[in-house]
Amino acid sequence: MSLTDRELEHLERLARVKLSGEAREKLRGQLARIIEFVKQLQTIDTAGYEPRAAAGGFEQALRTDETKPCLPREEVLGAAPQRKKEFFGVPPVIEADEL
Amino acid sequence: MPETRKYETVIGLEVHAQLVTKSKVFCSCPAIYGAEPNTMVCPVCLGLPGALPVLNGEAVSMAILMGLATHCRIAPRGIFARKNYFYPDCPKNYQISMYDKPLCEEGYLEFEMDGKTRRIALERIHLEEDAGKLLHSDEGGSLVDFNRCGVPLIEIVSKPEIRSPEEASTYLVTLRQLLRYLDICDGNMEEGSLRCDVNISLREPGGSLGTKTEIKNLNSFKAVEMGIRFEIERQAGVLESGGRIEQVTNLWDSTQKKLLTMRSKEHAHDYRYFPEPDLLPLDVDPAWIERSRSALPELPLAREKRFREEYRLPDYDAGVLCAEKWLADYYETVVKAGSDPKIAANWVMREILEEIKAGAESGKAAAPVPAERLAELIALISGGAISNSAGREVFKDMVKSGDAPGK
Amino acid sequence: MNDLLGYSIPELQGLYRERKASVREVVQSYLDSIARRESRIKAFLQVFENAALEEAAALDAKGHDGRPLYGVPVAIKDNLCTRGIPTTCASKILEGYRPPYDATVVDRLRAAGAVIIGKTNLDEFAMGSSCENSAFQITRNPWNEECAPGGSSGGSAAAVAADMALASLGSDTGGSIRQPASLCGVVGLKGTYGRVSRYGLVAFASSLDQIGPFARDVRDCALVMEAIAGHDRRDATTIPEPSPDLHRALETGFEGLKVAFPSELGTWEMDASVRAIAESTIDELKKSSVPVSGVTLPGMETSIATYYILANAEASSNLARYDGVKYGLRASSASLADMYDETRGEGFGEEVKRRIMLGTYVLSSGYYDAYYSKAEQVKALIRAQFEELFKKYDLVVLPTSPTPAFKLGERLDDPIAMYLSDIFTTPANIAGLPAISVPAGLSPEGLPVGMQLVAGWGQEAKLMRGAFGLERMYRFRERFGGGAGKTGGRGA
Repeated sequence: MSLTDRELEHLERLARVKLSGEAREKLRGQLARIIEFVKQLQTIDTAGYEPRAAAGGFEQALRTDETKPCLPREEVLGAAPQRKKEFFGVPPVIEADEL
Repeated sequence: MPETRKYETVIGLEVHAQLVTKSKVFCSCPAIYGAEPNTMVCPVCLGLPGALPVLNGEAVSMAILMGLATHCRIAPRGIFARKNYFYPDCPKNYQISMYDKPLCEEGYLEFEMDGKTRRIALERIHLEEDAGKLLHSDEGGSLVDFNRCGVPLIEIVSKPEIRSPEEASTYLVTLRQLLRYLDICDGNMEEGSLRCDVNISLREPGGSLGTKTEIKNLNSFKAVEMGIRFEIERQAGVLESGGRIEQVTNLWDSTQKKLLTMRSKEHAHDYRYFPEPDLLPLDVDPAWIERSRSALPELPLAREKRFREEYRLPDYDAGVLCAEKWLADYYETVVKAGSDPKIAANWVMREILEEIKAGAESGKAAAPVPAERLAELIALISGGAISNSAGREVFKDMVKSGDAPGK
Repeated sequence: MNDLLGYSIPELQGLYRERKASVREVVQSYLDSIARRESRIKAFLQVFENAALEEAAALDAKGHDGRPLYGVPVAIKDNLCTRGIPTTCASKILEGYRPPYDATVVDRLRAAGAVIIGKTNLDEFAMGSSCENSAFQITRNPWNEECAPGGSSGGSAAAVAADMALASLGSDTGGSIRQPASLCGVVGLKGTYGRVSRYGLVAFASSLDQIGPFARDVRDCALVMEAIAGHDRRDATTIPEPSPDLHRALETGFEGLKVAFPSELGTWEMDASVRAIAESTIDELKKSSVPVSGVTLPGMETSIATYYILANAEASSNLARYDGVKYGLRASSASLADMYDETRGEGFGEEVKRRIMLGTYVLSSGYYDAYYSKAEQVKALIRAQFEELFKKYDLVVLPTSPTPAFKLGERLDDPIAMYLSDIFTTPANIAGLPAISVPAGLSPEGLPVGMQLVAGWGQEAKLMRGAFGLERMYRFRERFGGGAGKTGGRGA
């Protein structure tokens, strides 16, 4: 199989990863081979096997509705690549922007 | 003006209601509104590397309560799923929601309209996490506040059975009333604790469904009605002139009172839902459902009916008194303390509600006079001890002093 | 003070109790060992020299308090969050990132008295089998510096093999503990899925990731596992049981255990040295009258493909959060879309991008059913088959890796060949079962070969007994203890 330009672009947009030049072409070929490789599963007969039966058969413990202290704001914003006062800053988001 | 009556309107509502749990749905941060930006967050709701969600049982209980109140089937097993999309208000760039296995399915909501009972079928109710908030910066760029991330939401999805803007707003009023009766959402549309998205399409009577468009950002009952009305006219206009409806999303601009069409999408959304591997399936055993069922209060429609029958109140009175659970409770306390039901209704609807309106904007303000005191006052009037107009004066004194009548 | 490097955890506890050695001396010995070897091995991304010595001094001041890992120098993989200390996952996108919290396993190591001496190299975001996908450095195999240590927990395996830590933690999604353990000649354990809390482990594939220990021998490995395992309120997927007792019954070995081996062993592709060691293992077990039978091993044909679909689907979502908004790298772009695309394009390495793209593909509209759903069903099938198998047997024995350590660079350009080095390890991840690699022997080139045991769900105790039995049988440390370029172990 091969990946068309359109398909690859679609994946790049969904994954929000920019590829270019040689690296892009290399990845296109490798991705196609890997997809071909994993396709083999489609021939396996799995009739009657329901996914996600919890292996141990235990139920998750739910949390009781109690509050705990939050992180200090300096720790929250300390790592921000762009900080604007008490907010994280990002390039302009136009409300009608569909990503 | 396009001839809108020629078409049948098909409307479906997706309502997001913030639950009033103490803590968020997947972490222990307080789920409160209005805190200083980025102070109500922790590694989990910030989506920091390595942090994991743990489900708040109370949020599930509240969702089940809403499911039962709307006659849904409660799924024995709900499955959380990741909805993947990049947006700066979504710290993990996926939202934990429910997809093909929601918590509640196939219910309905009933309300009275034009003297008839309307029943709108619900497709589903599911539990999910809220996103953060984006603000615009004066210096250009946008600002992100993650406080709201992880506040529990239920999404209530109706089937496309709503036929008019009025019906849509009545549906929403009823839903809000129910949420407040159950004490699981404060229903404040301005603050965004209740939000409504609308899907609309037109069709010729008996014809097949038309292409639907979406309206987001409808932040008041009025906006819901106006937005829908505008969109119906717009679509009718397009169809009249032989055009085709495009699948777009519109935003309601609440200041300019108009619809903005969002930039059309090059590609359709592809959210790549898959089961959330950090959470196990949510198993709801029958005992949990029964516990919730026994915790259900008397619901508004049933209570109105009872008020009409038991207290012989007119439809209007029963409707006003049952609009809010606390008000209906208050009224019944006055009646149980010995007041005549109709006289008590008049006092509660006039004096009490006026005082409350004068006092606070929000509906949940406390009654200005304890129910027992009001009953004593009504007894004085009914017994002829004081006249009606003197009674009103006494009432005003009671509000001021907080004393019992006759002091 | 080099001789202090030779002691096991129980031996060290004895020395500490009798005050024959101080924690400071022991920690200093390991720091000295790092000073001698690290410049060539490059197992660590950070060494906490001062902090470790301070912690050691504090422990000495208190005296031995009976805690199981008191004064044990431990290294941890750099995908485990450490409060205020850089946690990079060997990725440029997280360069300089300091988490505001400690992972549960870090809390538990400290609570058990361990001294964390450094954070180790890995394949970026634990994606790889050679440690060569690190954005920062190449780790070398202490047995042969031309070779890879395996991966993704290559740094943690190499640190223990080169006596730069007494034990270490790694994470295993498709074999990332067991394969480097095999290639570096140390013991590496992955517990039942849910046995060890993942809170604070930077996620690669949430439904498969498990943290586990590396150690020189099975008993040390059991002791570290006991310290980190057990239910955690912060991880909803942890098994709701306390940490199991693993070390007390080790001596019983294979007694009363029924062992299965894959009857197709003879037909599978593997290095001749691996085959020879596998076959002699089975012969030896038979000779020592352990009941051993050949079985068809579930998932051998399908696990790798299942793994690459499920793990990368989850990874594509787990790694979406690295977007330049909250922490880490951000490209200076004018528009939001460009900021995302460029930050992630520059910040992630080639293999990570490859996997994100594959994961995105298998989840995308139109392909979900054929790939993701199908893989979930195959996973359910493999689980069911293992359940059947473990009704009749207690343990499965098989090689850990089809080859000993391979040359650096050898497999970099052939992702599928690289993926196939996990062929024997992925079934245990897919089925959520506990598995361990025990050093078994050397190839003719003098490279270690590990053998693997897999046990039924929740059966770590049996697994460790079997591993102890194998260890007693191989006597690997006695025979080849100095092989990883050590200065001769105890007494040198």
